Amino acid sequence: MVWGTDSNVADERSPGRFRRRLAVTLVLVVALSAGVVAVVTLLVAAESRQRNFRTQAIAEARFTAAVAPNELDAQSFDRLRLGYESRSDANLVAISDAGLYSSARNLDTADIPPLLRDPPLETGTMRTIEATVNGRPTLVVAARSPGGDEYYSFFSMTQLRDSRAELARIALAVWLLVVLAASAIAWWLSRRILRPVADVAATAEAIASGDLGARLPDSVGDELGALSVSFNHMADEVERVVERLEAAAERERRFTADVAHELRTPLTGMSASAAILREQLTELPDKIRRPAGILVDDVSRMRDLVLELLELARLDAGEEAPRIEPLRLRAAVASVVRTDGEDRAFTIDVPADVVVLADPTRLRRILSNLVTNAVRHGQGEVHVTSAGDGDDVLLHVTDDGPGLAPGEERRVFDRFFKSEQSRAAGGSGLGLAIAHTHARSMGGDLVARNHRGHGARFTLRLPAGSPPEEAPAAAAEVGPAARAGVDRETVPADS
Amino acid sequence: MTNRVLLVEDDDIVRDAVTLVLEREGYAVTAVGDGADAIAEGARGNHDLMVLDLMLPTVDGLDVCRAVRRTSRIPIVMLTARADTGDVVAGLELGADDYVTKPFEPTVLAARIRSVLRRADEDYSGAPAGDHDLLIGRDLRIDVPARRAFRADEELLLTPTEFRLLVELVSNRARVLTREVLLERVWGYDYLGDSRLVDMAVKRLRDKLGEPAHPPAYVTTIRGVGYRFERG
Repeated sequence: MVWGTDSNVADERSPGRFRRRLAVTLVLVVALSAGVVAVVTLLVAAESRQRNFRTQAIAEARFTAAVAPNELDAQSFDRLRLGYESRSDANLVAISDAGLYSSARNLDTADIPPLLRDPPLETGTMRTIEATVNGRPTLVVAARSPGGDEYYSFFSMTQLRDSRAELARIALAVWLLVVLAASAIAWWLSRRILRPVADVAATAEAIASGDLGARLPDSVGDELGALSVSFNHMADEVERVVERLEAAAERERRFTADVAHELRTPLTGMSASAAILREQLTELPDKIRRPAGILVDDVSRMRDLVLELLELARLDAGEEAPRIEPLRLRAAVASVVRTDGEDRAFTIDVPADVVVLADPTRLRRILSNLVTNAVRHGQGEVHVTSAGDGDDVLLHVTDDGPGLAPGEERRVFDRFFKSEQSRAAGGSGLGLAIAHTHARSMGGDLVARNHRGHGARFTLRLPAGSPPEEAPAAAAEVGPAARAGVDRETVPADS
Repeated sequence: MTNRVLLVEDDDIVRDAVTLVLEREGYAVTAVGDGADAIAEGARGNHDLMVLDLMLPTVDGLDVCRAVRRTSRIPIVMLTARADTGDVVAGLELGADDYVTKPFEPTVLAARIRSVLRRADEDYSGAPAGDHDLLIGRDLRIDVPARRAFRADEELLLTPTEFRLLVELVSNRARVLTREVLLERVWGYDYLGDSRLVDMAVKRLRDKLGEPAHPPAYVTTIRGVGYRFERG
C-alpha cells in the first residue's frame, strides 16, 4: 500500500486496510495451491480406479469366455451364469447360432452397442466400450469363445461414478477447511508481520503530538530492526533540534523580559524627574531648554516602549487568561479618548447600550492603541462608530489621514512595523501588534483597511454581551456614569 | 489641610523623584527606604496614606502591608515592578486599596492617590441613600456621616475603600452591580480599570462581614456580571 501524501491521507491510512490485503493475499495463495493439489489428486485417483475397474472387468470377461461351454444351450448357460454370478455382479449375455441367452431379463440384443458386433469379433479377441445401458453407465466387454459364441459382459459403472463424486465432495470439504484454517492463520500472521509497522506509526504519531521522547523498542537484527534503529536516530535528532530551538526562544523571551524588567526602576525615577522638568521647561535658560525638552520626550517614549515590551513578554508567556465581563463600549471609548485623544477631534457615534464581552484592561489597551494610532497618523476628525454583526459587535475607528499603502493591511500588525510615511510620526511600532494580540485573545479580531473617502479604518470585532441591569449611582459626585448620557457626543480635547 | 503621605521605596533615585512629585502635588511626604522603618513609621499612625513599593530588601512589601493592616486602616497604594501580577493580587488581598505599575507616569500615581484619599475624606453629607443618615441592610447598620458600620452591635473595622464599597452595595441592594460600575463609583476610575481591585475588595469585605445569621450570604457573585447585596 502506498502511504498517501495527498489530501485523503486519513482514508489511505485507515488502520487494518493493509493488514486485510495482506491476509487476503495469503489466503488466496493457500486456496489456489490447495485447490490445484486437490484437483490433481482427484483426477489421478479417479483415473487409477477407472483403470483397475477396467482391468478387472476384462480379466473377468476373458475368464468367462475361456470357461464357456462348447455347446451353448439354456442348461450350459445357466451353469455358466451361476459360476459367473458367484464371482461378479455383472450381467452376461451370450449369443450363439442357437439363440440368445441373458442373465438379466431386461437385456437383449438391442442393448448391445452395435460397435461391439460390427465388425464381427475374431475368436480369442476382446473388445470394450462404455455405453449407457438401460439408463445406466455401463462398461460392456465383448469376447468370442473358442466355440465361436459371442459373450457380452455388462459391468455397471454407477458405483464407480458414485465413489468418484464422493471423492470430489471430500476433496472440496478438505479444501474448504484448509482455506478456513489459512484465513485464521493469515489474519494472525499479518498482524505479526505488520506489528512493527503499526509500532512505527504509533511512535511517529506520539512524537507528532508532542511526546518527543517516544521511541521504538529495540528489535532483533532483521530489516525492521534496522528501521527502528534509523527511526530512533531520527527521533533523537528531531528532539535535540527542537529542544535547542525551544531553549533559544525561551532565552530570547526571558532576555527581553529581564531587560524590560530591569529598566523599570531607573525609568520610574527618570519619569518622575522628567515630569518635574517638563513643568519647568519655560523657566530654563535658552541654551539648555531644547536638550531638556528632548530628554523629557525621550524618557516618555522610552517608558512607553518598555511597557509595551513587557506587555508583549507577558502575552508571549501566555500565562494570564483574559477576565471577560460585560462592558459598555461607548463609555469605554469616551474614557480612552479623554485620556489619549490629545487635541484631536473625535466623533463617537456608538449607542450607549452597546455591550461587549471583554477583559477591561485589554480593551483599554486596544482602544488606547487605536486612538493613539489615529492621533499620530490620521488627520482631521476621527470617527468612531459601531455596528452589530451577528453575535458580534464591530467598532470602526476611521481617520482622515493618508491611509494605508497597498499591502500594509496585514503588515501594520507586525511587531516593530512602521510604514515609510509614518516613520516620522513616532511610536514604537508595537502598539497595533499588541492590540491585535489582545483582540484575538478575547475571541475577537482586529483588521485594517482603507475607508473610501477617508483614511485608514481599523475595525475591532468583539463578542456582544447583554446590557447589565443599570443601577443608579449612590453618590452623584462619584464616577463619570452620570456624565455619559447623550447618544452622540463630540469629545473635546481635555488632556 | 495638607495630607501626609508615607512613601516606602528602597531605590534612592526613585524615592527622591517620587518625593519631589508628591511634594509638588501638595503632600507632606515622609520617605523611608526599608520595610522595618515602614512598619515602625506606619504604627505611629500620623499619616493619611501609604505609598508602598512591593519589592523591598529585608522585609518584603507584602509583609509590610500585612503588618500595617493589623493595626491600621490607613489607605495603601502599592508600587509594583513585577511582570507577573501574582503579588498585586496578594497585596490587594492583604488590604491594599490600589496599585500602580512601574514605570508610572507621575500624574497617574498622583491621580490614584487623590482618588484613594477622596474616599477616606469623602463627605457623605450628600447622603448616598437619599436622606437617610442610617443605612440598614439586614443586620448591618451603617452610620454614613460618621463612616462607621456595625453588624449586630459590633463595629466592623472597614478601610475607606471597603466602607465605600459596602455603602454602594447596600444602597443598591437586590440589584447587580457590574465590576466596571463599582470601579467607577468606588475607586473613581474613569472607566476600564483592573477588575481585580473589585474582586479582592469584595473578598475582604466578605471576610469582615462574616457569615450572616440566616442565608442567603450578604454579597452574591453573579458569574460573569458582578455582585449583588441580597435582601435578607
